[in-house]
Amino acid sequence: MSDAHARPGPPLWLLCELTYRCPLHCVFCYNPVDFSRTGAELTTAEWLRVLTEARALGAVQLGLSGGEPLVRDDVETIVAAAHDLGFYINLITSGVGLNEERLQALKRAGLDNIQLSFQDSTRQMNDFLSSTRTFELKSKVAALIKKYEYPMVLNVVLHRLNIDHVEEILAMAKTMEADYVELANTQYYGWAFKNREQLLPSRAQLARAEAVTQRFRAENGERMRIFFVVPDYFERRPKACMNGLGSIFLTITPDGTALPCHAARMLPGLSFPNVKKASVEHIWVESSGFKHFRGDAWMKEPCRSCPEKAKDFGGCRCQAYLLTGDAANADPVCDLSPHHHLVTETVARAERAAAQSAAAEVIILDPLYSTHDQDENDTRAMAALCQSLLRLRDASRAALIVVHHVRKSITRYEIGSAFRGSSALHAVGDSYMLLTRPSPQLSTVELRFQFRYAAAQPPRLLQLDPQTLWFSSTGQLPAAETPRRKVEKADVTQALAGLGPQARYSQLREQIMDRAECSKRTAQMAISVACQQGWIVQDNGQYHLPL
Amino acid sequence: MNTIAATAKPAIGRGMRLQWEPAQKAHVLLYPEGMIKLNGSAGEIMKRCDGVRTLSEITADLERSFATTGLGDDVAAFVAMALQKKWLEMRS
Ligand code: SF4
Ligand code: SF4
Repeated sequence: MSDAHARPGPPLWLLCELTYRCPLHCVFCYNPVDFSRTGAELTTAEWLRVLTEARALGAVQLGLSGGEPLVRDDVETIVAAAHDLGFYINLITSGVGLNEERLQALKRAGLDNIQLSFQDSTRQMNDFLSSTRTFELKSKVAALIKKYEYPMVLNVVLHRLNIDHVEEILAMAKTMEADYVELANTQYYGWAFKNREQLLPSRAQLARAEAVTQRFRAENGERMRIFFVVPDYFERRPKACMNGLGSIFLTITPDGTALPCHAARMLPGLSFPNVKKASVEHIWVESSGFKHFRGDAWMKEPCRSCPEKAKDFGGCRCQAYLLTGDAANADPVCDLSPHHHLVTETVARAERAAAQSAAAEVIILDPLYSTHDQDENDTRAMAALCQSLLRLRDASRAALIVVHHVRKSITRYEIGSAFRGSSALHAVGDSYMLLTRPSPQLSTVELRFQFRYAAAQPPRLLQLDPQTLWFSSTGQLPAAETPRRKVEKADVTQALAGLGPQARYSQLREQIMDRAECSKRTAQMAISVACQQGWIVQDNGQYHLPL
Repeated sequence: MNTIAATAKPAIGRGMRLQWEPAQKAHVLLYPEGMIKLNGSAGEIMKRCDGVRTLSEITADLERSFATTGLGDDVAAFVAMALQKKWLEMRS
């Protein structure tokens, strides 16, 4: 067990939130919801003292963020001091306020890297999301950043409203010659927690965005590094919180409050000291706010005895608190948590809200397995999935088209029952269309129909044109597919007559199947009917015509 | 694996910085929003990659400093790996 009282390692990462002020008003902002109640911003001199003390403890990566840090006019002074102390300095900005003059001054001061945050690559969406016309400005800023030879990180916060634009975002990043692109999905704290059902993407959107990213990487190589961060609501294990709270990360908020993470202020029962009153060393090493979640003595079950606790540290304390009301619980993203359903239910509600707000008339889930993580062989899981499909249909008032694969071996005349996870799926569908290949030798595929409330259409044969990838109807059906006629008395008696004076059951059955072109089962039925009616006689396992 | 010319002059990659961190008792390589703590030998090699000295000069200097011989292959292998990770780039 790691010890909360041993002297901690250095706060390698120091994040200085210079101000909460920001000219943008993003729906997913991390800013505390009640930031208007926080105290006065630290002065330049106070920031310089923070930097000196943190550097002496071993801090080396410095983030300068906000709000919009450039709202302050002493950023250049702070950068110069940080550079002299030996920090690697990252400026995290929306780009508003970054003109050529300031870029030059920052370069002289020793700024190492600029992270430019974007809400989306399409101006319309960007304007909508931050309610300000900033897109063109950011493009200009990006060009300037490259002109002054800074490495550039583009950070795009993804959510339901922009995640479908990943392809354009990556193309834009490439044009801007970004060195790194972070496609970070919103973390649900602050404003975003309140808006999460509007912001959470659907599983299908997420899968598509990841596929687009993969393809882009494959086509464009490694010059631009892309990080795609999946929202943890879709995971079964929580993300590791920076090696655990209080182990490498130190945030100083605009008014000087020191936090082990930018969201930790919400955690109840912890007091976080202010750098106006205490030294950074005292805060980091001695204060209860930083010591409390260090090590693992604070953990409850299931984390306490979990072998994975050294890997994920029980996940995010803030998320545990927000969702379960107790910051010492396992992060409910973990499916070992008894509160995991709170996460899955939120995802389900968000999917329904997405469908509703889209006012769709038809929703296509293509393929079904991209929308869930259940075991398709598990009937109960599939039944639950079907229930959520029905809820989605009812909430959206749209028609659902579900594209799904069939079981490995299906019989010739199966339709709705052929789908994987079938009994459950078969119970909820209103109509089924099944595409099969009648035989591997044929280039045609067969489309079969089954309707709950209407008579089935005869199957159609479709031919694929490999040039146009277009299916056209070939019009004709192979012999075996002619609509089956009823097996008549004559079929049975003539079949039997053709076999000589008497015949065994299996011989007779085969003969009937041949003559009437029917299935084995139909032939069996015909034999038993013929026996009942006295058209044929069964004697000691042998069949013959009545004498 | 070793395709690097002995006359090539490796330098710290653009946007990266190498420095000694007393708190970690190690050389660290700093880059946008991240950091790698180098082990002793990696640190010794990297700090000699100044874009002026060639690979063979770096190797010779290392062998002199540590009173040993035959470091050539190890140094070349490390430099190849570091180039691939963009910790280093080549100057001509
Ligand atoms: S139970 Fe706790 S420690 Fe174990 S995997 Fe889940 S969150 Fe991590
Ligand atoms: S506690 Fe949660 S919000 Fe805070 S740093 Fe860790 S993961 Fe992030």
